[in-house]
Amino acid sequence: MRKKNIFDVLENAENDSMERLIDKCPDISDEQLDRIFRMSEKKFRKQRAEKERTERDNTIKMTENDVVEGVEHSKRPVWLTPLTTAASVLLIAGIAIGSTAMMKRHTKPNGGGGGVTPAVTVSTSTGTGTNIVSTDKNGSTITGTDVTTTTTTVTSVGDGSDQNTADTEFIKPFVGRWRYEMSNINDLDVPESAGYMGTVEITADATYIMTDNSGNVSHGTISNATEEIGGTSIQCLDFSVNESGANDFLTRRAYYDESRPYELHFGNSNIARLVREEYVEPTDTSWQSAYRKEILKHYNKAGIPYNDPMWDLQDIDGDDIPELLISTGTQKDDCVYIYYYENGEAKDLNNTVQTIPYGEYGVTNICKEEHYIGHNYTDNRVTYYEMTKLKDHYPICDIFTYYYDLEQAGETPYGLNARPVSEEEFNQKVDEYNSKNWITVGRQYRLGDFSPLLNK
Amino acid sequence: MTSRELTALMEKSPVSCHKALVKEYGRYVYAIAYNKLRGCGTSEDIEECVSDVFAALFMQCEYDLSSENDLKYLIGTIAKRKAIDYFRSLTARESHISETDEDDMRELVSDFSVDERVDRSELRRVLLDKIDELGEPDSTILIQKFYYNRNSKEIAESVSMTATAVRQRCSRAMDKLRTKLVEVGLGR
Repeated sequence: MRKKNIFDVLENAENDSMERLIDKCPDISDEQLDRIFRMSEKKFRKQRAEKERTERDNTIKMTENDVVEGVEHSKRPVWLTPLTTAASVLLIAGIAIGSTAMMKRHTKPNGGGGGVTPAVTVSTSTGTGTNIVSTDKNGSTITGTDVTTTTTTVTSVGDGSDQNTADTEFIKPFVGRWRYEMSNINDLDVPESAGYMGTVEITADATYIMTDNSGNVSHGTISNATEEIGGTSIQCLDFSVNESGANDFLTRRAYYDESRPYELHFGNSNIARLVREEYVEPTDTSWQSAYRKEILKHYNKAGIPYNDPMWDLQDIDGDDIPELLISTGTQKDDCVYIYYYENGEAKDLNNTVQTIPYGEYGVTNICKEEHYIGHNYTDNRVTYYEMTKLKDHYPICDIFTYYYDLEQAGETPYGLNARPVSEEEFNQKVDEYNSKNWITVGRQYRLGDFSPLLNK
Repeated sequence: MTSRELTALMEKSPVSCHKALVKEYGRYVYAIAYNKLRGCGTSEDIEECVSDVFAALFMQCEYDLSSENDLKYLIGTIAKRKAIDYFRSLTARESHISETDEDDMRELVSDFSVDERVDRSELRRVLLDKIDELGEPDSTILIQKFYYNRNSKEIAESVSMTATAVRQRCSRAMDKLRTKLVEVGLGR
């Protein structure tokens, strides 16, 4: 932190003091001036293009009888077509040859190579109890009372006889490499929340090797189990403790569900699972997925710096895809971050223009009919209005202000986008602001509630 | 540069005109932005603000420049307003920075045993008066060192002295300033 000195009192100086400080301002280097010039020129061109676009849009007037005609000609070299055809043929041939070679490399050798296979002790227990079958989004548990029969097959190292080989048959469908994943919001139904915890290799002798995400390696054994829930027999795998006597996974028992052959989930909750390494989550480019990812980023900030974050969905620009609003809390300094969806991503509306984050007290105003975001406040020195038109995902922002300090200094106190304006022009903008049908938004859902973004 | 000169230059070459504006008023705008944002922004924020001021000025030149305008006054006004907007933006983004600097003021004042009722602008005026009384180049050295946070080497270039000489003068000037502030009840 910078140490304070008495010269800090010179900050925010009034005009006469400012002039004295300007006189003593060191020269700006040519390099810095050049940098400022380039930045200014870039911003100016962008602003000018925006202004021209707005003016052009305003002058286009089409009626129902207007017809759009004509063909746009495009030119491309004659040799391009045969060249692209040849390239495609080569690519397809390459894929075919490559795939064949890969298939050959992964063919299992005959015999499986003897080795040590486990001997088996089987124990069976039967009991009656209440199983928590699932937990709904409100936290209610759905329970059922069932007769549960658990068959556990405990394996130990044996001499590799045929009998033992037969008793490790159960593991064959599960042999291979798996990713161990846990959801940081305790809900794997939000696929973006799955975090990688390590890699597990399940081998044909019903043992596993776990390499966690810090590189630590541990080992254990796996035994066969089945569970009957509601009359349905469910295939389970019981993982032993590792050589340190600790559990490598959330629970010891993993459940296999035929409808999801690529995963084994732990316990009845939806927190942790093993996923086959080759399984790739289908690419989801929907706006729901993009917004889930964005909320998860904010979820990790809850508590610090956010005290009471919430979120909301509102279609401000009228394109039938709602904008995502994230409120950081309920204090005066709390603002609303607004995101729009574009090309598979949630994009921050605040980053496209230099403006104060939207709203205060964690809410902002919107006018859906005219696609505006608005915010105003008054204190004893400042009257501040911000009115942002959202058009084609680009915010066009008007800031109109009254500064008491400027009035006291004998300057024009009214401003529109940093340009001094008359009181009349300022009042016109205020009237325009007040004529909108504003509604207050930003806080509809808790940050851990993803239900409006899930297609359940 | 007058508005008429600017208009003539704009007609000839807008880009050259923009460059000339940045060259002539860059230091002026920078000083204004620095004054408002010194306590809450980085040097990048200040440069962003300065470039925003010039972008707004270029827009004004393109669409709305009256030959009656006093150019320096216009630039100064745009710069102050943009800087205030930036200040509000930066403090809102960082949040929890109090708007009127009351806490900073109290802390600052207590450092120098100043009666809390002393008005900040009066304090500013007295401080600048006392710095000016030191004469040149000492006043420039102190302002550039402690207000603009320049190092001795950079100051040496602007006052045509060696860095060692700047350091020595700065140390002596600061002692003199302390004495002068004590005399008017602003130090201990």
